[in-house]
Amino acid sequence: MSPLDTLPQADAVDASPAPTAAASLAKPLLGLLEELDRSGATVARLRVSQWPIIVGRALTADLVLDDAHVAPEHLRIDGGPSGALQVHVLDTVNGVGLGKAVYQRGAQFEWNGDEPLALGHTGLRMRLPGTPVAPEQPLPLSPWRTAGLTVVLLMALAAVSVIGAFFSATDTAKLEQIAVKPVLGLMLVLGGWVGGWSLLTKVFTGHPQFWRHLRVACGFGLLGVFASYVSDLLAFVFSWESLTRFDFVLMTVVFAAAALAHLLIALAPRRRRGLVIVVVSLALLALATSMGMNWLKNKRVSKQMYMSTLLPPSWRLAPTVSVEQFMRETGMLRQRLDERLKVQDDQDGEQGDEE
Amino acid sequence: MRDLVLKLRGLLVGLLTVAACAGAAQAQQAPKAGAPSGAQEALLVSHDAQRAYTSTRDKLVQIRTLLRNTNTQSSVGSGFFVSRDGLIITNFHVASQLALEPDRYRGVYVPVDGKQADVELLAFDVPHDLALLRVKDAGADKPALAFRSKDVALRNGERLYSLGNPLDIGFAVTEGNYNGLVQRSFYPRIFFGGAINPGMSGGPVIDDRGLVIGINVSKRRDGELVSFLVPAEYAQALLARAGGASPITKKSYTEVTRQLKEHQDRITQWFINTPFKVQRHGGYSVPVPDDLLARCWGGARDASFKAFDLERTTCRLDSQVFAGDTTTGFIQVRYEAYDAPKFNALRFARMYSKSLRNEQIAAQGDSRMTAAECSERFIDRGGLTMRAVVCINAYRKFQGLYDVSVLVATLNRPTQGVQGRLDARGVSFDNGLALVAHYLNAFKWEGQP
Repeated sequence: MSPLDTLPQADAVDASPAPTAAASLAKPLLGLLEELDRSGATVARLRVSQWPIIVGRALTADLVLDDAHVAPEHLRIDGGPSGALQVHVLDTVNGVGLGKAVYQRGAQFEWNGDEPLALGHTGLRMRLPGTPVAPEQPLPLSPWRTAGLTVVLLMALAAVSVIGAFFSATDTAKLEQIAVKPVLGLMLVLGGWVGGWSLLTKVFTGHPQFWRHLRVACGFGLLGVFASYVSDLLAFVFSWESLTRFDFVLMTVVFAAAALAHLLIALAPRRRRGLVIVVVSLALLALATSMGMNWLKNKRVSKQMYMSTLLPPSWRLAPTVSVEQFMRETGMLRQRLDERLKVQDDQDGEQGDEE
Repeated sequence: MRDLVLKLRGLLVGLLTVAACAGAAQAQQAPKAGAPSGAQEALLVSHDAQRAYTSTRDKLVQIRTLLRNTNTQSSVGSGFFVSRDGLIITNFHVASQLALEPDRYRGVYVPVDGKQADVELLAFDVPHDLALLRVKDAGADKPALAFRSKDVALRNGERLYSLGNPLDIGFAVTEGNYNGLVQRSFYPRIFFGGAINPGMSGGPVIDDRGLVIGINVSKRRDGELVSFLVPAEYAQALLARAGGASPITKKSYTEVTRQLKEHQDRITQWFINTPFKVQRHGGYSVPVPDDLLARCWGGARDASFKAFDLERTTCRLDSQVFAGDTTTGFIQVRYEAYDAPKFNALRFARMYSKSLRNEQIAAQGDSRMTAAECSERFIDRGGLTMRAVVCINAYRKFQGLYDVSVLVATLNRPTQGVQGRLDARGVSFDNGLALVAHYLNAFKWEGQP
C-alpha cells in the first residue's frame, strides 16, 4: 500500500513521512492518484505501488475521501497489463462521472487517468509513469509588466472619465473640479466593484486576486465606453437610430462579459462552459425581461423614443431628405397609431356607447 | 395662460375649505387693524353689492354632480336660471361628467333655500366652456336672470358683481371691474378685476342693473383679482340653439370630439394663415407666432457667463379648452439658441445632445392617450440641415384627435445651433402634419455659408 499525502492547499508540497518514502522506494511507483477539489486544485495525493486501488469514505479504502456524496467503497481501479486503467464502479448511489458519461453501480470502463473522474463533489486524476510532464512555466520576467498594464488601464479609464466630464461641462472656469469629481467617483465605484469581487475570490480560492480583478474592471470599463462612443458615432454618421435605441443591449453584453471574466477568476471552475452558459442565460433573461416589460407597457422593446446624439455636423454622412418627403414618411405613423388604439381598446374592452 | 378652472372636485373640498376659512378670518380681522388694503377693499361688500345679491339670490343655484351609487358629490360649481321653465346656464367644466359619464354621475341643483333637485344636461359648448341644464321637474315658474344687450357696450372700469358658491361654503357676491377683453385670447374672454374662487364657476356676473354680462370661468393663479368671464352672448347663443333640446342620457364623446375638431380646425387655420414673426439668433431665422396670436416669453443666460450664450423663447396660443379629464386644443412653440464660439465642436455637440435628450415625449400610454409613435430624419430646408423628430400620440376617447410634437435641431455650424419644439394638442392628423410642415419650412439660415 502506498502513502497518502494530504495537502492543505492545492499547491502545497509533498509532505510524506520518511519511513513511508523509504517503503515506497522498495516497490516501483505505478502511478500518482490525485484528489481534486471543486476548483480542480489538488488536495491530496496517493502514491500507487500496487493494484487494485479502492477509493471511498471507508477506512478500508486506499484513498479515504471526506465527501458525503461518496460511497464507503465507491470505485476500484485496476492497472491492466496493457497499461490502460480499468475502473469498476462499486456500491454507490451517485455513480462515477467521466466527461459527460455517468457510470452506475456495477459498471466497468477504461480510464486514461488524465481526464478527471467525478465522485460526488470530488475529482480524481491519475498520473502514470509514462505520462509526459508539462514543461516548466517560466517565472514572469518582471512583475512590473502586469503592474504597468494595471496602471495604464487605470490611467486610461480615469482619463476617459475626466475627458468625458470636460466635454460635458459648460463652465470650465473650475477645471480642478471637473477633473477631481469624476476621478473620485471612479475610484469609489472601482473600489467597491473590485473589492466585492476580490472578497468573493478570497472565499472561493483563497487568494483575493485584487489586481487581476482591477485589470478586468478597467478593461471592460474602457470597452463599454468605447462601444458606447462607436455606437453613437455610427448612429449619427449614418442615421442608424436603432443603434441608440438598443444601446442597452450592447451595454448588457459588455456587462455580462465583465461579470463572466470576474466569475472565472473568483470561482476558478473546472467546467468553464457551464459558467459561460449560466452568465449568457442570465444576460439573455435580463434583456428579455427588460424588453418584455417595455413591450407590455408601451408595445415597443426600447425605451428610447428618438436618437438624441448629435455630433459635429461635418461628421454626418447620412443623406438629408426634403421636408415634403419627411412629412410623407411621418404620415405612416397614422397606421401605427391606429393599431395602438385598437390594441389598447381591445385590452380595455371599451364600449363605444355613444348618444 | 395658466388659468385655474374653478371646478371644485370632491376630493379637494376639505383642503380648499380650510384655505378659504383662513382667508375669511383675515378679511374679518382687517377692519380692526385699520384701513383695508386695495384687495381687501374690493372684497368688502358695498351697498350696491348687497342690492345685487338680494335681487339675484333666488336666481342663483349651486350645481353638483353626484356619484349615482353613493350620492356623494364629485364636483360643485354655480349656475343661474335663464328661463322661467327652469333652464340653467353653467360652465361645461362643471357639468362635463354629466356629458361624458352619465351612467356614473347625475346632476342636481341647489338654490339658496337649500332644496336640492335633479337637473338634466341639454347641450354644451366646449370651446366656450358653457353648458345648458334644465330642472327635471320644473314645477312653478323659476325667477330668471336677463342678459344685457350686446348693443349696450361695457365700459372699462364699469362695476360688476360676480355671484356663486365659492368652495361650497355658501352663496357669495364679489365686486370687481370690467377691464376689457383678454388680449391674445383665441376666444373672447372678459378680464374681470375681481375675486372669483373655485366653486363659483358657471355663476353669473351682472352689471349695476342686474343684467348678466358674463359667466365666471377661470382665474390666474399667479395674480391677484385677475379673473376671466365668458361673454354673455355665447350663453345666449347656446340658449337660443338648444333651449328645446332633449336631455343627454348617453356618453357624449362624439359630440365633444366634433366640437374639438371644429376648434382645432380654427386654430390650425389661424396659425397657418397668420405669417410668422421672424426671430433671429445669429444667422438663424426661426418661426415665432405673431404677437397677435400668442404670448411669448424670452430668457437668456447671465451675460457675465462667458462660456456660451443661450437664449430661450416660449410662445403659447391662448386657445386651450377643457374637455373632461384633459385640457387640449392649443399650440406651443419653444426655442433654445446656443452660441459657443469658445467650445470645440465635440464639446458643443455634447451640450447640444444633452439639450435634445431632455425633451419630454409621452412614451407611455394611459387611459387618455396612446403611447407616442415617432419619425425622425436629417432634413434639408433651403440648405439648412436639421435633425427633425416628430412624435404623435392619439387620443383614445376623442377619436381622430392627436397630440403632435416636433423637435428640431439645426446642424450646419460646429458651435452654433437652434433647437425648436412645436406642440399641437388635440389636432387632427392632417392638421398636425400641416402644422409641422409649416413650422419646419419656416426655418432659415441667413448667415455666411
